[in-house]
Amino acid sequence: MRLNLRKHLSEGQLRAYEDNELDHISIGHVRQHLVSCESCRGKAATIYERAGLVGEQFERTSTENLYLPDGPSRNRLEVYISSKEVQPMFKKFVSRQPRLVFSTVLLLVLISSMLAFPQVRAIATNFLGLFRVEKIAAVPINLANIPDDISQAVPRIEKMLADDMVVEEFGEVYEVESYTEASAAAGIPVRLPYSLGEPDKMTVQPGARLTFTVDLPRMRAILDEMGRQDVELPQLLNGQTVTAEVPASVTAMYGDCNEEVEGYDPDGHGKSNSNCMVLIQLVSPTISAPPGLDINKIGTTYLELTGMSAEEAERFSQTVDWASTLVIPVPNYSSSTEVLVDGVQGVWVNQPERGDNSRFMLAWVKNGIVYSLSGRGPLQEAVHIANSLN
Amino acid sequence: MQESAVEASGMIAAGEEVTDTIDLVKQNLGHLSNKSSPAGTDFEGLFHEYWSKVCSLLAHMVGDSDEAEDLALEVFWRLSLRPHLFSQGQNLGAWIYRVATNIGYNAIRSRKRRQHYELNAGRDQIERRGDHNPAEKLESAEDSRQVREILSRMKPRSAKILTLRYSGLTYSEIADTLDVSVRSIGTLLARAEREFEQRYRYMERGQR
Repeated sequence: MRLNLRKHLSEGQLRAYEDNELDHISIGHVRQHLVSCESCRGKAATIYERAGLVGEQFERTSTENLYLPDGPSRNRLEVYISSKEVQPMFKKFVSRQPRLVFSTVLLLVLISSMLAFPQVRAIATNFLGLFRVEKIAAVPINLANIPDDISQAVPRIEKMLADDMVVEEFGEVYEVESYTEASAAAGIPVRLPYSLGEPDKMTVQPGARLTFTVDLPRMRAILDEMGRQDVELPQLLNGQTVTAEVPASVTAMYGDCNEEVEGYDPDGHGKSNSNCMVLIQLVSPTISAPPGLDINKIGTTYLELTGMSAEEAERFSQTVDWASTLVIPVPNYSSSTEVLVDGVQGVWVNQPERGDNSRFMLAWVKNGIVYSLSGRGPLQEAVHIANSLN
Repeated sequence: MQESAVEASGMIAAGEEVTDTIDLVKQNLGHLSNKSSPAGTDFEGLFHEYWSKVCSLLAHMVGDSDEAEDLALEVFWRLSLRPHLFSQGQNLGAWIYRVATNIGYNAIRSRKRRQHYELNAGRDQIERRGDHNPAEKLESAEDSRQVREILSRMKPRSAKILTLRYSGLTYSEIADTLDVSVRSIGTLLARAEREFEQRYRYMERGQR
């Protein structure tokens, strides 16, 4: 910063001088000017006194924690990242950018479906298999059992698969004024809980379709990196397509819900307000895949990839109808239980947080429509709200 | 004969494609997991270099160490969602500070949070530390609350520049974080300090 010696010094120059943030030449000029200019000396004194006051106040805001980056902090981050991936899964599933969940599911479906195909079998090009979510089940997973390379690989694999994946979004989320408007937009009779009164806000998220076309060389490379060289990929699979359809969804918000934190921005701030309750409803999503798919094998492989042993996965797999069940992985620091809600079997997932302010998600499927109620509070309150849907 | 030649060349081309794809995959997979790369170029390196700094900065802003850690987790979680940043040659330190100051500023600006801090932050800290001189500490907590109150009312850029500077960042780091010219930092800082002092004096008068 070059200075004109005769010109008075600016506040910025004096402030930078105090912080020793000027270059050597400028420091010399400021020093020289201050010797001969009483006005600037006075100005400098005021600025430095003010900086002293501010510095003193800030000094009092420092805390005594050391925040060492290793050990517990790093572990906490791992748990935090995992909880972020799992907890808002349903929200992401129906949100505007469902890429992560979809592509992960599709990838797993794809990998597993390849296992099910005899190499000699001719594969039809039309989709014959159609799976629709009719039930929701929770499966407990131990995060410690998930291989590092799998969890780290998913986002990178997703990036690599971007060329093979087409996401069609049928519009941006928009606000609606009434449940009639919401019903017309989503094509379903929207139900609202009378126990909560009128929603503070209602939005409609138009549907989306995701199409994945198999690029065999790429898939082989990915499987190789995942350490799954044992998976054989029949040449006929090349060019096959898997499609997932998510219909339009309606979100009703009650209480002080910040839109940013309630799922429209999956990258948004994760802190939710304590009195916010969100109800999402949509027609069951569907996945279409090539025929001849061994759905049980898919399910078992999916569970193995979430960290279960082959035996555990096999055992759990036998209890689930994979063709119609959306299985939500629940990490070990959360709890889940099956509950009777809205006249059907649903799943309650509870995630404890600091204090007694637990976060929950209650999900169920009734008459072909998936419902998810999330917020904070005890199980009884959530079920009471869900049972009051009209 | 001719057909065989075409077939053979097709196979070679397909083979090359597979090799290229595998190389591409390996390059991509290497980005985030390269443990041997120097600190600052991979996620682990960045976490190691910036975790403490980000926690301290956020603690300055929100005045509560637990809350600061929670918000810092949020910062690194957001970073983990953006593997593409690692390959774009971006100044990731500036990115981290920018996200941290945004998150911290939003936290103190939130009306509910501010009320919560006013009521609980100082008291909680004192109780947690088991201080022997609670009266003195309570006064200190009150000062700390006052700083956050002032910051929450200031212009966003002014509040952020003060937090960054008094957390120890250089002018160059602040300029990168706020995406302004380094030559303007002195002026912006002096202006922010003036605003801080005015609000501080006003608050002091109100308390008398």
